[in-house]
Amino acid sequence: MRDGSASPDPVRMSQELTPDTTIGQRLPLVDSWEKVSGRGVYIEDMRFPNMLHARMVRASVAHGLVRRVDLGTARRVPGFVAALVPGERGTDIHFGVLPISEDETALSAPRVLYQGDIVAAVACEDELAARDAALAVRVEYEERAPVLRPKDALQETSDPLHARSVGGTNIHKTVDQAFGDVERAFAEAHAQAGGEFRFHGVNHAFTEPIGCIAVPEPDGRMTLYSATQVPHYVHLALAKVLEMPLHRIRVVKPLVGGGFGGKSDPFPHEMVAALLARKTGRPVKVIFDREEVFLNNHGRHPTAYRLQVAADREGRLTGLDAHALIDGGAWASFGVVTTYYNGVLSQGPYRLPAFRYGGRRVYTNKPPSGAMRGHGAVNARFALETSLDELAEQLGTDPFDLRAQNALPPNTVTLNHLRITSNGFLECLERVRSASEWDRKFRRLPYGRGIGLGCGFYISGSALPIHRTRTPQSTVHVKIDVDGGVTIHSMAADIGQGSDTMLAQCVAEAIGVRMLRCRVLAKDTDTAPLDLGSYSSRVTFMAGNAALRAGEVIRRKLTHACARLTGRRAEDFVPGGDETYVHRDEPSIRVRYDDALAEALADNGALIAKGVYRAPKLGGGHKGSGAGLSPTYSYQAFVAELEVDAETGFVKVEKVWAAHDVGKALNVTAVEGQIEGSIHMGLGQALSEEMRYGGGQLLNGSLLDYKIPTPLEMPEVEVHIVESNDPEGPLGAKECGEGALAPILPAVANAIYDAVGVRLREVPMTPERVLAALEDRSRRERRAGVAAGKSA
Amino acid sequence: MRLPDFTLHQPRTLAQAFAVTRDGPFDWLGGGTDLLCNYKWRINVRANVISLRRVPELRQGLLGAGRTLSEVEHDPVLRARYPAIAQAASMIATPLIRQSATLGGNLLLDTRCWHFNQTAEWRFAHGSCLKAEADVCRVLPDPGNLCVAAYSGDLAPVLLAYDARVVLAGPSASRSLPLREFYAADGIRRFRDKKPDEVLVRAELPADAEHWTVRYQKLRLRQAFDFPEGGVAAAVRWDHGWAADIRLATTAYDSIPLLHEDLVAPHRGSSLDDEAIEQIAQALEETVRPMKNTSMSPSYRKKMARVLCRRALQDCRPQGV
Repeated sequence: MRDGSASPDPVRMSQELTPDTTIGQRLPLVDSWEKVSGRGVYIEDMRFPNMLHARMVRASVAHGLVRRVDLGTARRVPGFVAALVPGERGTDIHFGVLPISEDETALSAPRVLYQGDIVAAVACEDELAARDAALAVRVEYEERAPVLRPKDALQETSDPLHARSVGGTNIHKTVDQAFGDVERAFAEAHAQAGGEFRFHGVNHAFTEPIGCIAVPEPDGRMTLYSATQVPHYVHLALAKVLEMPLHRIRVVKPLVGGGFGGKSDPFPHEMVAALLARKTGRPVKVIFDREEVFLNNHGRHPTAYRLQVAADREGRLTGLDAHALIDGGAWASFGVVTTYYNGVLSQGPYRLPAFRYGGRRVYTNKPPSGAMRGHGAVNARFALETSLDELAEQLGTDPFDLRAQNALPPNTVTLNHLRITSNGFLECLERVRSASEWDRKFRRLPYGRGIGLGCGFYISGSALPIHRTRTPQSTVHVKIDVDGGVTIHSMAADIGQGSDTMLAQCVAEAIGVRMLRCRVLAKDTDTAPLDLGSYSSRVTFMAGNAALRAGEVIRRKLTHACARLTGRRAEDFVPGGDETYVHRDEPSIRVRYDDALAEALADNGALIAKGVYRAPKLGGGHKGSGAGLSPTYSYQAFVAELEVDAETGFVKVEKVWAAHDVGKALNVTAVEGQIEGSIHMGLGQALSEEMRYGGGQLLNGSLLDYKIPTPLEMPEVEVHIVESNDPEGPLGAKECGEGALAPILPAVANAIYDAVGVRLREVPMTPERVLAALEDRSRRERRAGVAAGKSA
Repeated sequence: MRLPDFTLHQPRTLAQAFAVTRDGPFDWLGGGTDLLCNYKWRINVRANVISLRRVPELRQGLLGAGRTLSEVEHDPVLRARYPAIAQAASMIATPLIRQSATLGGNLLLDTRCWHFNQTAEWRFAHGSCLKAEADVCRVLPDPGNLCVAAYSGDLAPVLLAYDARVVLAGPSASRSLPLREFYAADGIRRFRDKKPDEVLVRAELPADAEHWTVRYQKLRLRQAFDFPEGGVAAAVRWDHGWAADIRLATTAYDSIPLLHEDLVAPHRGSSLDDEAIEQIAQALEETVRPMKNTSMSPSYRKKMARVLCRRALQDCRPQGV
C-alpha cells in the first residue's frame, strides 16, 4: 500500500457498510462511562507531587502603562513561593494562534489593554495562599483613556493600542471584497431589504473552567497539561515563549469539558504556568475562576452589521451589500479570519450574482474576542436571513419559496470561488416546511404566536491550514499487537463533541472489526501524530478521513494474511460479520479476525499503519481567497415556533424543527446532540446572553448574571438529519457541530415578526428590547393615526 | 474557587449556638447557598460561621426557619392551604439549590447589588462600595448613607401578603413581631431592631390566613436560577363576591420588601373589577422606585410592576370571574 500520504483523493470505501458497522447508529460516546461515573480526569482532578498553585494578577484598569509592580506584602503571605513579573525572561515574547497576528505575551506590559489583562502572577503552596498573594500585589498604572466604542477605534490616534494596527488607527484588519456589479444590482432592484444590526458579545460559557498544569520534567523537558482544543498550537507557542525546541516540550490534553472555540487559542496563562514551572522547578497549576473565563473571553465579537439584499421582479437575488464593524477587544486572536468570515460565508446557500463586503475589525480596551461556535458566520447570517424574510414579504412570496428559488445547486462554484459539492439544502427546506406544517401556520397564527424560518451554510473544515506547511492537516496512526486490540493515535482534540468516538467508528469500519476493540489515545503530543485540532468544524472530515485510510492499510494487511491462509486472492476478502473476513465469491471461505491477525503478526510483529488527510487545493486568486474555502459545506433550514407576551416582551420558543445536511450521520445520537446543543447555545445569544460593561469593566462575569438559558427555556427540538453523502467526506460525512447554531437566531427573529409584527435588529432580543420595539410601533401607529385623522 | 478560611460551628441546640456568638464576629448559616457564594467572592467574610442546620427547633412548625425550600415547595399542607407559599418557594433559584437553601435564609436574604455581588478583584478595581469595603455608593451619588441594594427574597412578599409574624430567639429571650415591622429600608442594616445574636426560628400565619387568596408574580429573565427583578404578591379576602380586604406586597423593588396599604385601601369592599385592578396596578407602577443595580433596567422593572400586579390580582379572583 502506498501509505496514502500524498493523495488528495477521497477514500473510496465500498458503498456497503460492513456487517459489524456502527455507522449511522445510535452510540454512547466512548468516554461516556468515565464521565457519567465521575471517574473522568479533567485538569482540576490532576495533582502532582510538590505542585504549586498560580494565580494571575489582573489589570484593574482598562488601559494604561504599568509603572511598577510591587509584590509588597504578597511575599509575606504564608505559602508564597514565587512571582512572575514584567521584564522576566519569556514574558515579553509574542505568540498567537495566527502567525500573521502574534500580538499576545505571557504578561501584558508595559501596556495593559483591558481590565483583566494579566500583569503578573504568583505561585504558592495552595490555592488560597495564591489568591491572597495575588490580591496583595500592588500595580501602579499610568492610566490612559480607554477605547471602548468600535467607532472610536476607527479614528486616527497618536497612541494606537497596537503597533501593527492599520494606518495610525486602532483598526486591526480591513477586508474589502467585491464580485459582480453591486451598484447595478441595487439600481435595478425590484425589491430590497436590510438594515443596521447590532450584536452584543457572547461568551462560550463552557462547563469546565480553563486550566492547565505545567510540569518541569527531570530531564529538562516541559510538559503542559491543558484543557485545550488545539494542542498543536499550544505546543508551537510554548516552544516560542520557552525558547525550546518542540521535541523538548510535550502537550497533553486530558478530558475537556467543552470548548466551543473558547479553548482554541494558545493562552497567556499557559505561558505563565510554564514560565513559573521553569523558574521554580516545580509543577504549577492554574485554574480560572468563572470570572476569569469571561475575562479571558475570546468569545463572539460584538458587531455592528449593515446589510442590503436586492432581488429582481421574479424574486431572484441580484445583489448583497454587507459591512461589518467588529469589536475585537484587546488582542488579535482569530480576528483576521473572523473579519473574512463575516462576509465570505454569506455566499451560501444562495446564488448571488453580485456581492460586496467591507469588514473592519478594531482593537478596543475590552476582553479579547475570538472564535466561537459558528465562527464569523452567526451575526452575518442573522442579518441576511432576517432581511430575506423582509424581502419575501415585499415580493409577496413565501420565505421558503424565496430560498428554494435562489438555492445554490450542488456541484457548482460561488462568485467568490467556494467549491460546492454535495448539497442537501433543498431537502432541508422541504423537510422542515412539511414537518412544521408551515403552510398552515405562516401568517395565520393568532397575534402573539409566530413561526419563522432561518437557514444556514457552514464550512466543514478550513481547507487552508493556519500555518504555511506541507504537512498533512490530520494524521492518524493505528497499531494492533498480539492482544488484538486496535490502538488509535491522533491529536484530534475531543472536547466533548465525540471525536474519539468518531475515530473509533471510522477505524473499526475500515478494518471490519467491532468498535469495542478500539481504544483511542488522542491526547499526547509525544505519542500522537499531528492534527491541527478542534476548530473550524474540521475534525470529522479531516481526521475521519485519515482514520479511514489508516484502517484501510490495516485491513489490507489482514486480507493479505487471509490470502496466505487460504490460497485465495487478498482483494477478494471482505468483512463478513462477527469479525471475520469472507471470500466474496465463495462465502464458505471465511477467516476469523484472530486467525488473520495471528498470521499477519507472524514474522512481522505489530501491525502499524498511518493515514493522512490534506485538503485539496481550492479557491480563486483574489486577495483573501483562502478564507471560507472548505472541502465541503453543511446546510441548514430551521423553523421556530414561539409565543410572544406582548405585555412583557417575553419570548417563549415552543418548538424548533431543525434540518441539517450532515452528509452522513456517523453516530445519530452525537449528531442530534450537536444540533440540539447548537440550538441551546444559539437561543442564548438570541434571547438572553450578553456580555455587559460599565466603562471597560465587565459587569456580569458569572453564570448567575450571564444568562444562559436553563432547561426550562429550552424548546422541544425535532432534528431532521439530511444526508447528502458527501463524495469526499469520511463515509459521506461532513460537519454538524457549528453550522447548526446560526439558523436559530434569525428563525426566532422572523417568528417574532410573524407573531407580533416587529423586526428586532439588536441581539439578544431580550424582553426589554422586544417590548421597546412593540411600544415604538404603537407610538408610530398613534402618530400615523393622528395624522390620518387630521387629514380626513 | 475555594472558600476562605473560617471556623464552622455546628451547634445542636440554640443555647450552644448563642454561646458561640461570644467568640467574635460571626455569620449565621442556614443552607449557605447565598452566604457561601459571597464568601467565595470575599464579601464581608467573618471568622466564625454558625450553622443552624442541626438545631431541631428551627425545623419545627409549618414555616420553621430551618426547613429547606424544597420541603416548603413540596409540603402537602402548604400546597393545599397556602399554595402561594409553596409556589413562591418553587420559583426560587434551582431545584438543586432548594435542597439546601432554607426558608429562614430566604427571609433573611442579604440585599443584592451589581456593585456589591462581585469578586474581590472586581470590587477593588471598581473602588468597592458602602456595603463592602468603601464608604461611597456606586448607584446613587448621595443615598444619604442608606444602601439601596435590592432585597430579593421571594417568600417575604408572600408572607407579607398573608400578614405573617416572625418568631425570633435570642440568648436571653424570644419574641414575636409582625413581618411588616421586621425589615428596615437600608440595604446594609436591613432589619429594624433584630440583634445580631438573634435567630429567626419560624414564621407564623395569622388565624384567618386560610381565608385569603394569595398569588405571587415574579419577574426574571429565566424561569429558574434568577433572583427576582421584581415581585408582586397580592392577597384578597373574598366575601360573597366582594374583596373585603386586599393586600399588596412587593420584593426586589427596594432594599426592603414592602406592603403597599395605601394603594389597595380605596378598593377594599369593591368587586375588584378590571378597572379597580388597573388603578391599583398603575398606582404601583408609579410607586416603585427600582434602582439601576440589577440585570434589567429600572424603567422596564417599573413598567413590569404594573403587569405583575395586574396578573397577581387577576389570579386572586375566583375562577371563572
